[in-house]
Amino acid sequence: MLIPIGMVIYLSFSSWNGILGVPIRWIGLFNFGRLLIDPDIINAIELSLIYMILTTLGTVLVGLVLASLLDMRVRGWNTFRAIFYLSVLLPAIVTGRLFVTMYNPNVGLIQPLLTFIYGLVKLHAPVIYWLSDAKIVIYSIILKDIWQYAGFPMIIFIAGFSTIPVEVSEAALVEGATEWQIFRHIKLPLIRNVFAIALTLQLIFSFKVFDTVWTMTEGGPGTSTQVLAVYLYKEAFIGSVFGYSAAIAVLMILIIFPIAIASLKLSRFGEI
Amino acid sequence: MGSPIYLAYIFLFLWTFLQLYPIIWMGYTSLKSNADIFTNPFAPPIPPKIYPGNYIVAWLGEFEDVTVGIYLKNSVIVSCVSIVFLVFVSVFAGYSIARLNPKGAGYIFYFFLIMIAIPPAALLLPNYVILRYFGFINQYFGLISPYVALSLPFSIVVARSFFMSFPREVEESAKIDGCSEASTFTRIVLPLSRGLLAMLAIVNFPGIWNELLYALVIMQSNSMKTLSPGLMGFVGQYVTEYNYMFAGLDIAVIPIIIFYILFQKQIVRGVLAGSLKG
Repeated sequence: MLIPIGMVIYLSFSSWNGILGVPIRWIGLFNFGRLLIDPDIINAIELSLIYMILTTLGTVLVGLVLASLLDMRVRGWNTFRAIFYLSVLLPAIVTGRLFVTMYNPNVGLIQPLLTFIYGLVKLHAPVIYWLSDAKIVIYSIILKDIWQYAGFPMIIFIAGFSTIPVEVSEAALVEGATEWQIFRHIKLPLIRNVFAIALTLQLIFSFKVFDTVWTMTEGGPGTSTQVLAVYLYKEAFIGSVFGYSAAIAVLMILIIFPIAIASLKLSRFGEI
Repeated sequence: MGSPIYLAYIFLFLWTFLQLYPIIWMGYTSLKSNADIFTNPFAPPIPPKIYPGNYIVAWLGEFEDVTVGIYLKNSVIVSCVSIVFLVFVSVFAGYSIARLNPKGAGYIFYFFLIMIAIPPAALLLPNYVILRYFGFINQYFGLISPYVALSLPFSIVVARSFFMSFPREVEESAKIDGCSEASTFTRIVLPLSRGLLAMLAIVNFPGIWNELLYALVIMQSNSMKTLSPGLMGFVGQYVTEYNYMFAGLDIAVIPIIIFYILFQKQIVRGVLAGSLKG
């Protein structure tokens, strides 16, 4: 694994179009200079961050809610748990195309639904261009990923909750606490380290995102969903600018490294 | 005390509906004709307007050469071989790290832990160049080796945690009985580690099966593509043939669902153990 990292760093200092036989010219920090002034990079970083934060928050919060509901051990809870985890395993291409179709104002499911709901109050439903409106397209994609991956933090939280002995909540009930109080003051603090783990894993996974974005919009319309990994791919394999693409790769590593190390340290400190 | 339970059920059923409906919709939509999908997207197909032939078209590649049958075969080959190599290497590596002297082992372990965070996209370029240099582009091995390499850090971390909590007394009594280090491993530890092997296989399988980026770059001819890049063939051009597309997508999804129904308990357990121990 170290060789590729070394190579990527080397390539990022070069200009190369990826065709064997063409010499790799060392152009020093030129690529990185270009990085600094490239508006697309700012765009990509911004999009990646928006995606990372919203997806992580969304999946973790929904997962937490689901896990708490299931922790009540209603009848058939493990069936629910199984159903909720299924979407996590589906390929991005499948769920991506599914949602693209659902989002489509002409063919899809969401527009008719909106029309129906608005029709109930005799209003005309607005047409929402989920995927063609550059301003909201990234959020449409985030929504789909929250739908798909909420089950993952949910599983982690279920495990966390199950390590809390029942006697603790029962003692609190005896003392006169309401369910909500038990939840807020007893359960939540006890799963703090599990929470940190779920958060960390989701952050790391969402930073890598390529599949979802690519299968839904290929980075478009324009560059409005061009997250870092997509930008990297386009530069290398569509634009044939390997050197710059490698610089993007190095940038990605530089960004995620401190985040990963910080999160790992934080979650380890939670060890009781 | 009753009302929270009812509320809980409401939310649970709501989410169940949100989760299952699109998948089920995808299922029965694939059996409709394209015109029916446009006119009445919500309705299930009513015989005789059912077109299972869509699946044949998708499987055989009659629509724009998108041959899902071949893609499925490729995915199976690449995934299974990758998993075998991966589990093999990570178990050996994890065991060595767990049983080596503490100082060096600590650093190696942290090294792998950090590697988990490296985005595969960042290493795409050098991997591509190296593979091309050795002629592995558009070959099974060209996908298998990056998949194994990229999944190793996580698997090694999990394996090492497993072996750290493995009871040493078993190994010690084997050594007292005259077993060498290697034999202890193969004859005593391994058979007792079936849970770990299964867990590694199950946890890594979806990631590899669903992978898109490397498959897109490395597999360039239609006959070698795995499911993810292959199904992309339904994109790109202005897609109006939704029925074929969904048939193709469903072919990709059905094995996963079957796999999941069969192994669901182990899958959940494996994900848990993998994340918490890491």
